[in-house]
Amino acid sequence: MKKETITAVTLGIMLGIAVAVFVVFRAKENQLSKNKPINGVNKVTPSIAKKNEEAIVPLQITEPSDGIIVSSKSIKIKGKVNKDSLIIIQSPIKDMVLKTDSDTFDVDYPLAMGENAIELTVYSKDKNLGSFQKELKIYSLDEQ
Amino acid sequence: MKKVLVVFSIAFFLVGSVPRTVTGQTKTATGSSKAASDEAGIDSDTKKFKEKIVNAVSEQYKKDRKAVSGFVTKTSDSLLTIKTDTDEDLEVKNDEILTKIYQISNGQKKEIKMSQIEKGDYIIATGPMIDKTVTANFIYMDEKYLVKTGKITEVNKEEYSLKVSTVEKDVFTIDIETSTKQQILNINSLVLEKVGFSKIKEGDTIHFTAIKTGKEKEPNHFPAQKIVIIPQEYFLK
Repeated sequence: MKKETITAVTLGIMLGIAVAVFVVFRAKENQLSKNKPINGVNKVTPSIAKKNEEAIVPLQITEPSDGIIVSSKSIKIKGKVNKDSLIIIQSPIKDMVLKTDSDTFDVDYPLAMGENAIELTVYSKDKNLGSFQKELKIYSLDEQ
Repeated sequence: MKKVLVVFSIAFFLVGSVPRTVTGQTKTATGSSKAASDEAGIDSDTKKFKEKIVNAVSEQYKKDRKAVSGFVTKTSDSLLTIKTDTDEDLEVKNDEILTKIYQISNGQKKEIKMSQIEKGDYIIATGPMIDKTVTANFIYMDEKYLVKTGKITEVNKEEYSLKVSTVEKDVFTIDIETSTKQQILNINSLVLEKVGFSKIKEGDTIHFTAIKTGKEKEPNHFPAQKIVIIPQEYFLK
């Protein structure tokens, strides 16, 4: 076989393999994008930067959302605070004092019928940070 | 040179066509029984998928339900204008047949008529909202409570009142009445205990609740429903 023929065959095979690899990867990507779960379980959102940012937030309420309407007589309040914070939760029907030993809290809080103005105040262990407040309005309405 | 090009082209197409053939083969059905079972599987998957969507929509609707509240500034037979906490003017449309109107008092609701709602009343309305108009499904007449935190800047032992400055720089005067529930944080046990007015000092932190009627003689002057004192010693520990 001539030298030119060998070179041509080698080049052809190499280019063919490159195209094949490209096509296989594109096909896999298309398949994955079609099978994406609708509930977003695999959604990757938090980044390291975001985690660090959240770590210094003195009070973050993750549940419930402000202005929500419920038909129950109590609600779960969940959130994130700095470790060893003192939390005062106050509404017209209940005063609650919590000392957190982790960076999260989770309490069942009673509701009165109608509008419930609930104020959460956090006093961090580091007294120089001062206090932080958030007000929630929760509507406990029996809509019938 | 021509020969080189011909061989090159043949080699390129032969190798390049292999993966496409392989990926294509994975989707090919192989028999009628398999196709039938696949179809049944698809039907069941579709059903589950539909159920999931219905549940998700229903859950989302429950989560998205919102209410508006504020003091009534204008009334008419079918329309109320309210001012919210954020000083926003909203309109609440009343449908004589569809809208149900209640008064909330002592944890109970009692059906009332639209004509019983007056200027200055505090209401909550629920229903679809377009721009600044809520077409109310329900209207509730309720009491407006203030829940605030601040630092005590003045203790008036003659008037039994406290001047409180909040983080937002609002200044409140709150009257301590015989009915006011007074508590203080025990800084060692972190338990709330009863406290007398004489123990309250300037510099202490106060959490208070009060009823806002909208008819106060002085703005930001309210009788306190209850107070919780965080003594300044807690912050010096």
